[in-house]
Amino acid sequence: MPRSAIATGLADFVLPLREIAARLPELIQNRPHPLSDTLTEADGDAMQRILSHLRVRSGHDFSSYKKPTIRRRIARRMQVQRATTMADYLAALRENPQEAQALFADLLISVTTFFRDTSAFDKLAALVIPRLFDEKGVSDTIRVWVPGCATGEEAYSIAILLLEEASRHEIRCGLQVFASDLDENALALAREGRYPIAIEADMPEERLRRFFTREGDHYRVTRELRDMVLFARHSLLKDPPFSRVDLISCRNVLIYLDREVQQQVCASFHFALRPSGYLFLGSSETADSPAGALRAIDRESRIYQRTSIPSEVQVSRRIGAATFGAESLPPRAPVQFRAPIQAGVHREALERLAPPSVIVDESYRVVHLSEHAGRYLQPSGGTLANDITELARVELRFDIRAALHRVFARNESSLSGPIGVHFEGTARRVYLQSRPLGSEPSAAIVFFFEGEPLSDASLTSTTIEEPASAEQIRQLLQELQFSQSQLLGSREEYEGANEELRAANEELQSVNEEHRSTAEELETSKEELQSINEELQTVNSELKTKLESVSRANGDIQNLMAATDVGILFLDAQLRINRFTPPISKLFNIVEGDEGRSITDFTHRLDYDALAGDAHIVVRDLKSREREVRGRDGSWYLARLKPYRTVEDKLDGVVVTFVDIGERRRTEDALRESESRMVLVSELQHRTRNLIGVVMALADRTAVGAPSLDAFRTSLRDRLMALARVQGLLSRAPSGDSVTFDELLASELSALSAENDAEITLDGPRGVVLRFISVQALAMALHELITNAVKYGALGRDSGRLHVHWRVQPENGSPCIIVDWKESGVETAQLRDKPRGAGNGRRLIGDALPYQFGARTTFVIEPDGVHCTIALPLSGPQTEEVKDGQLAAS
Amino acid sequence: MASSPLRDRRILVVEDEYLIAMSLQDALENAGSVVVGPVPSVDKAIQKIESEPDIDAAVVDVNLGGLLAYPVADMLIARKIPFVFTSGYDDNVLRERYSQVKNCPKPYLFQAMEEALVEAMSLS
Repeated sequence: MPRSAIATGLADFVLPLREIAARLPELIQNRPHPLSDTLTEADGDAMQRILSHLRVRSGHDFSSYKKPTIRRRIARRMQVQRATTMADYLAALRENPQEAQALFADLLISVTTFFRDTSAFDKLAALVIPRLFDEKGVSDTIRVWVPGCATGEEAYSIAILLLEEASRHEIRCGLQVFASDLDENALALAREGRYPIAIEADMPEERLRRFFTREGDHYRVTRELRDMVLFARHSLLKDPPFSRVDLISCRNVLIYLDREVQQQVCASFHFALRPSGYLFLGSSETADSPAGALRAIDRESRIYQRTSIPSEVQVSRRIGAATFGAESLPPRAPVQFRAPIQAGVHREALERLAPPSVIVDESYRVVHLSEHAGRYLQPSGGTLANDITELARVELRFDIRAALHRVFARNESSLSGPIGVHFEGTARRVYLQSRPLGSEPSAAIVFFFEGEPLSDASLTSTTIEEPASAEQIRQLLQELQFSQSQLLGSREEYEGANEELRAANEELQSVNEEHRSTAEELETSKEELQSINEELQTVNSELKTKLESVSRANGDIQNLMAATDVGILFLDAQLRINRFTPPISKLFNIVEGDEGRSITDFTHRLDYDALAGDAHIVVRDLKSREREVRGRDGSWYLARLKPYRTVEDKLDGVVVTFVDIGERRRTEDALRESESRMVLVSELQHRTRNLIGVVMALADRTAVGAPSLDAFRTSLRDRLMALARVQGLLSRAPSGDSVTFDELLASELSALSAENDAEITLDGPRGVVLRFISVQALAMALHELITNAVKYGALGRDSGRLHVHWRVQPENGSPCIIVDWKESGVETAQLRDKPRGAGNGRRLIGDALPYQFGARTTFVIEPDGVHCTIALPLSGPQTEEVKDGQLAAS
Repeated sequence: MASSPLRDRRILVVEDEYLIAMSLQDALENAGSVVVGPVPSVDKAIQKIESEPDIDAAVVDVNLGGLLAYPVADMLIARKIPFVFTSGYDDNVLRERYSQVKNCPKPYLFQAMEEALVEAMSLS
């Protein structure tokens, strides 16, 4: 790719990649200011110097090129050379000989493609090329000249058209295309005939296949095509033109030239073309001067045909053959310009002997005069015109006009009657003969035949009074007849002119009409523009209002963001930060300028690792989420995630707000604490009331069995003490400690330890946890057992022994504690007359526990003491239990 | 005592605390009532209500061995048996749920209980 780019020769720099990077910004900075139209004097002077330097260097004078074009090209080179003024550039030009070459190449504008402007080429192929073949025989050659051919595309295009047309004809005439240009480099490329693959776009595939062969990534023109085109270095301005050319194709060359030079070039084209040869110009060029030299065949496609105006006058100082470079002049194609001698001699002889004659064209302009035709001309005073009707002697003018009219209008030859003409005093009869030239006359020849001198007598014959001779009458009749026919001709001519005027008038009317409608259209357009302008003004003021309200809203948002205590985080759908309020900085390590980064990149001071997950869920489900999160410093926040909806109700991310709920949490905690305190109070009240109820019942029962008030007091006091002890144990229970059987037993035993040395054996596992509600009843039962033992049993005498054994074993599927109370060393006969109160205690043991807890008890007075067993379930029914405070709380 | 309005009335006693149950039983019997039970638990109370056809009134402890006595109360209401709660709790729930049922808070004197029972029976 870079190689082919270099090969085009269009690159201004060929540099290593590194240097390209450095050079590019410089080029952009040095971009020339749009050149002002007026050239400063210094610049104009420098430009002249540059051009003269170039003339010395390259031998080409560009001073006749259009100034703006040259200035643009020089400006481009200045940029490449990093010159800021024309003077700087001139210095660079002098220093560097290669720069002159580069400028030269830049000034020669070689931009072209195959069949550039296709429609014009189509016209050329349709209108011109076939006609070139019309008059050619086998030995003839169609000669085409392509000046300014650059890299040859235009020349090859024409050659292709010629070859295509030739294949449609049976007779094969010679085909020769001369292509010339100033630029040797361009010519070298043209001679190579090798073009990049991109030319595929310029022509249909059929053409491409026929005239090009593929060579890698290039196309090369075929031998047939290449042989047809001859490339030569040739200056259109300096060198003499080619001659006898059938077609000149000179596209987009004239546009670079000054007006006078254009005319000069057109004149040389006129010379170069053979009569009725064709000129093919670029789309913005014209060949209107010299006037009448070329007439347009197709004005749109710029195809002109040479008229028969002689060309010698305009180009005589230039006649000569083009000089071809030796390397480009193959021997098989010599350029011949010599005219055959014999034809000249013959023509000269004829000229001398034949009657004087004038050749005129359709518009009566004199195209050619024979040697002695001058005798019949006598131009009127004033501007010199070349119209025969103004050049000829006054006496002849009328007849010439009539004769020419017949020739061009009816294609008829005519011979006039004798016309009296005064040549330097002597009057002579002169006859005119007019003949059309060619079958479709575009020119006519007028011969002058001079007759006998006219005598005075014959001049005054109409005044002679004597009767006319027959000869005279005949002559008069003849003249009358001739006058009548002249009159007829004049009238016809007049009518024709009238017709033309009418047509011209109509045309003018229609032009006028067009102008009027154009003016109306302009008026309409103006009104439309005005209304559009008004609309635009309205839209503009609306936009201004909107802009104001938007900036107002923006200001409000800014202030809201700055003022709020709520941490707000705007995230997009990919969880990148869009915006955040200052309090967010306390939670996340985000600072101003972190917008656009993902929130997951930042650490935060929250126990909230699920933030990203929650945000994704919100984006997915479009439902808001709330969650209370704890800060690492113990503070609490309510994190609320809501989908971010745009004005068009489209989801565009998540809004996360963090509200500080520390105060609320603290209040809630306090409330909870006070509630549980309330529960405790309520529970305490319940227990107290229950306990008082128990105490009342206990007092009642004790009173029933008491023999005396003293006994009642002692017994009640002991029982109340036992009750107090168990309350002490139970008071620990709410704090988590539970009451175990061994604790309870030890507590009761130690309270009632007797003074004697009774032997007590306790045997059982420690730490058997009792049901909370059964503790009190069991304690009372133990109290009764111990009291009875102290009063009447084993604990009341030294010989007594008490053995308490307990174990845990399942009964009916639930664990029970089995307590075995065995007293010995007691003579139970004494117990028969025990006080009534003892029965009370026994009843408490025997009935209370079974009643309340489904326990099984036995109480037997054996010969050596009491034996009591208690099987007490350790767990209650598996149903809803009243937990501490549940009743009060529910 | 001979003129107690509870004479010959069949009174169900639902009370888990043995001593209190005994005291109430004694007091009721002294007043000439026939005590049904006493029973210490929800299950046993329900069995008793189902098996005893004639119960004129009942005394129900709200807290029965850790269980709430609501099923018993509901059953009594369903059978249109007048009853009186006894409870250590001074409680709103009880008042809301059983607004028509009198609570005789513990500790109580028998006289108060007697009045409460008479009032309950007179209302039904």
